[in-house]
Amino acid sequence: MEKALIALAAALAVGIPAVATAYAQAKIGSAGAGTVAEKPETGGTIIILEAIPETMVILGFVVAIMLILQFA
Amino acid sequence: MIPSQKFIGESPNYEYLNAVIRARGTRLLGREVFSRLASGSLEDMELFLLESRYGPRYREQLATGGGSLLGRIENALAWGAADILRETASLARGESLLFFSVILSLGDLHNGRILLRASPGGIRPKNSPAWHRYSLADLAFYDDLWKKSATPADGAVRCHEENHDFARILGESYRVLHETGDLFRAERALYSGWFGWWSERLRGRNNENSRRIEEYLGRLTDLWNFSIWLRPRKEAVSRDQAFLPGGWGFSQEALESLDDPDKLFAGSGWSFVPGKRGERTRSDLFRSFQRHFYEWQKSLYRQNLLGTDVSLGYAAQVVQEWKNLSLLAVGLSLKMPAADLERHLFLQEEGTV
Repeated sequence: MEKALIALAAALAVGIPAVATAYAQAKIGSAGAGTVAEKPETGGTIIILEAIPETMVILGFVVAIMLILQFA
Repeated sequence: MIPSQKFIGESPNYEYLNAVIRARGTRLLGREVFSRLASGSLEDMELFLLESRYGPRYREQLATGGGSLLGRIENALAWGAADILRETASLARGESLLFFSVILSLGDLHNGRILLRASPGGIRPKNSPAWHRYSLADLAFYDDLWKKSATPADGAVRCHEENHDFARILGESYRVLHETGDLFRAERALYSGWFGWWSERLRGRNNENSRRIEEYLGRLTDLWNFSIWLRPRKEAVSRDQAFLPGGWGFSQEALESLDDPDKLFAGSGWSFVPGKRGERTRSDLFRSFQRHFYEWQKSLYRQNLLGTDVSLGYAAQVVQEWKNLSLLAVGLSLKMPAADLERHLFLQEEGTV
């Protein structure tokens, strides 16, 4: 039972940030496509902006690993 | 015509649309460009237009020949501004397209007024006037009305032949003009029909963007109501009947009972400071208020970046740029001094947009 709860916690730690990241990247990607279409020179900046929300899911993944290593 | 129905059902794409608009916004002409043009000649302006985003339309005017230099410039500017707005609207989807259509439809309102005003006398120049070419209804419809409908009755019948909602509204206004001979009532019918039509289409939507569009329509209603309010009191009976409901800031009661513009604006939500009645002429007061309205609309450009605000702010700037360039062209053709010409332009303060 305890293991199942830890697994659930780890899943939530990755899953929730993943949904949030997807939402943010969808918005940024859409805006980025519009900006790059008009101003190709902004391509580099847009790639960086697109990658920033990725940190959320990476942090979530780290938390999930810590949960599993500490308690499982 | 903009395919306003085709993509209405899709989810809105504010992020994409606003990013494109903001990127294109950097191409809007700045104050220094207008100053430079004002101190040049009409020929300089012609060269400038050839290199600008109005260039394709100006080259088209050159290719089709005809008309004076001023006429060609005015046509190219009107077409160019319409191209910018229509092309931007074509990128919108879902709700963002519906709300952009409100902006384009303002062109129908302006064109309708031009037609109604030209109608009573039955005498009009052969060439069509400078239409607001970004309208939702086809320009051929307006041209046809201009050329073939000399009387309001002709206009009403022609409008009923057209399968477009705005034609129905304009037809109704023509009918009022035919029956009463009163241009003012006909214009009121046009405004009332237009506002009613949009209120109907926007009904049931309740989010931040729909509230902004309602505010925009309400402020437009205020603009109309203020123009009526400025009329002399002796016309009070027709004046009080002329106020349109649904204004944003002015209550019906305030419009009917107050005489002092300061009192009218106090607590209305408008930050406009009109000064006492009599200190300025009615047309000055109305023009200042109109400018204030445009300033407000332009200020939206930097507000909600994931909503319809950006479109509203951008459209105001495009229309203003067109008006300023047209004014410059007319002034330059009359060889007006640069300082006088600049005084007439409606320019944004540096750094505010």
